[in-house]
Amino acid sequence: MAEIAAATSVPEPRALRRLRSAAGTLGMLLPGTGWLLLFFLVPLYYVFLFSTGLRWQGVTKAAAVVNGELTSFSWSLWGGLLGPDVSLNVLGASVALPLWAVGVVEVALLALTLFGARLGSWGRFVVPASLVLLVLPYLALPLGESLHRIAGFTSADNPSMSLFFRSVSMSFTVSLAAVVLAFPIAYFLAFCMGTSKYRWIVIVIAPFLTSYLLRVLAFKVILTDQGLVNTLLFDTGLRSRDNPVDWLLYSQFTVFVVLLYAWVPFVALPIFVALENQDRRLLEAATDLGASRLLAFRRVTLPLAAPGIVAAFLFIFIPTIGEFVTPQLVGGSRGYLYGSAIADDFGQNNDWQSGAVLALFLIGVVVVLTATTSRFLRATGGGS
Amino acid sequence: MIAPGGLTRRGFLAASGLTFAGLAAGGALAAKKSPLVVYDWAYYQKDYKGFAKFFQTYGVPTYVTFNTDQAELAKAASGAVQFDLTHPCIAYIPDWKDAGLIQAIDTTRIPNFKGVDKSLLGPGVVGGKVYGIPWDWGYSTPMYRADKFKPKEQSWESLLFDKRLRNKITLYDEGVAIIKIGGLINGVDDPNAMSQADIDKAAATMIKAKPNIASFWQSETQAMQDFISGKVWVTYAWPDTFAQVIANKAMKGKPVVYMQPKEGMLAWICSFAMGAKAKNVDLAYKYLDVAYSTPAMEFLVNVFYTGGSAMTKAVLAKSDPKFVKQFRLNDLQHALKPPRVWLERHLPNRVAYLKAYQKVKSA
Repeated sequence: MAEIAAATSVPEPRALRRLRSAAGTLGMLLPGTGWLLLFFLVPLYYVFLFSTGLRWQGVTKAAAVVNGELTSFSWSLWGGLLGPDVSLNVLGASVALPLWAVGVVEVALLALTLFGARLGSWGRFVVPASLVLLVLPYLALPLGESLHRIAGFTSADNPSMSLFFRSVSMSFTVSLAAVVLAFPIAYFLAFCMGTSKYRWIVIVIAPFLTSYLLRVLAFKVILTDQGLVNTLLFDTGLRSRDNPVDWLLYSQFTVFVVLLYAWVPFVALPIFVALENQDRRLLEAATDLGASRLLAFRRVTLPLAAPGIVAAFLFIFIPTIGEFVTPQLVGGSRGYLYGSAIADDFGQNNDWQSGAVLALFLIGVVVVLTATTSRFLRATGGGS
Repeated sequence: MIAPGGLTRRGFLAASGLTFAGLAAGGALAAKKSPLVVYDWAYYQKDYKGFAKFFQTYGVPTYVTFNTDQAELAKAASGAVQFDLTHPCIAYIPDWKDAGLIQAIDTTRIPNFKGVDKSLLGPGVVGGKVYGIPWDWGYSTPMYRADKFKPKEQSWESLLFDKRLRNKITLYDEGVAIIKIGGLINGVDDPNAMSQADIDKAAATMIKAKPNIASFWQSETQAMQDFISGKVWVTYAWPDTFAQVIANKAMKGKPVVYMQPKEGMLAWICSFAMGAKAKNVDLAYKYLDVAYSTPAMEFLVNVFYTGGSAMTKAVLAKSDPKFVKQFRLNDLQHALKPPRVWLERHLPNRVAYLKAYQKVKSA
């Protein structure tokens, strides 16, 4: 009997242990995730209601009608954003395309860029070709008042969509430039700094010890007509005092420079982690097998750092695509971006319904982008 | 108008200590708290000397900051703000009323209201009842640095299309005003009554003018800083902006012109309105009575260089004669008359103005 009792009593503690373990897990996860979900999903739900006229802002329906708001369910605002064709402009030539087609092609190009290497020998051609096609409409030279591009998307009938593509271009260029600037810093810290590397990381992120607003406003002092840069030009005789470079402040160039400055340290960290975690024996093996330092970097270091680089790129691209504070402070009349339009709709335009459509579209784009790239990060171990 | 956002010269000195103007009331009584909630412009919260009598008798109200008409209407309509009194510009009173946010005001309960110029009352009356009572008014017009350039003529058009002024103009970030300026340049009969075609043409004009527009300012301080530093030579300005700029030490000896453009100046009247759910109605009437008293009106002119709706002889006698003359504070009949001045009116199609402005900003 005693043996039977012992045998039957065994499952009880195990079940209890499991229960306790599950309760512990839930106890750890629920408060944080619940908090995050509450303040993401609930507002998202309301934003959707606004975007379709199921909810309006006026306290009464009559007030909403006076305000020009939708007061019953309608996709019309969505149709206004997604309906009109967009134009692909390349070196002066222009082709009209439906927006959905542009979306499909862009996602396909992104997927080919990230996963094209799996196509074997074809990958050698597919990856660079799709990368070029993907990048070309967004890569810009932000010199002067506007972004200068070889190609780009616009929409004459839909200013919001034109703004969206301008914002993507700005974010893309900022993200790319930040990765290019941050990679050498991260490389130097990971491979050349020995034990002092963590002190240097603190130095790299030191600007974050001050408020973002102060750092942005400091640029006004540097870039204004009588600022540091123009004064230097005056003093060196490159410009007369009556003729300062007036696009240094209040232009798309300013937005680019300020965003780049603000985000470079953020980018350096994930790249540093990716480089730091690399197995150094692989480099030794490559060298032993006759690879030069450059070849070892290209064939070993860079591919292993790719997940960190992609993660770092997204780390800037996603928040900057909806950026509105920096354009507002230093962008002037030419720095207006998609995020500015959303902020205006929710603010001074008092048009939450249009703002909701713009905001949800942006969220949709970010979700697709994140889903595609996170598969790449998982596949390459970058997410670990 | 709207959205005065920066610090006045006096306000700057006072701002840190006068969070809600408590100390302006003077002495220990300033600490006394009133249950009254006033939803008022940041602009006026800098200095409340004119309300000292109310503070001393009833305590200091809670002031909730009001930044721009359009945005505050949205905020109030969403139920985010509870208030006894609010201070929208009078052109927006029908919107506040339609949204069910304000209640009618019994002006007989405000003894000092007798000094108010009755010609200003019209826009605040909806359905025969008074919902908004005019308190302050002023102009919105270009101000330029005459030490930097001389305009070809005194007009909006000459400024916005002068090649010498590339990147040298800053305008107020307020859609209705910007589209009205475009309409004035295009020669519309009345910028307050523009058709959709007029609005589209006005937007196109302002898009053409964008090479000269360096920025759209959201705070008066930002505009003044850029103007004084020489980053811009022209700004959209209120009388208060002009007064602050010419008083600035850095502008000593540098002539500044507050322009009377040939197309006309824009102008605004702002008003007090009683919250539909006001909890302190009696106290609100006491506050309004002080608002129309001589000290409060005098304070409007001498501190903010802004016109008051009750410019009685007593007020004018104590007001700075220079500003009384320049802004015709003693001649309301002519001070706000078209075509010299285009006073802001309620716009049933305001959304069309705002959408057109977004096109201007996006271009």
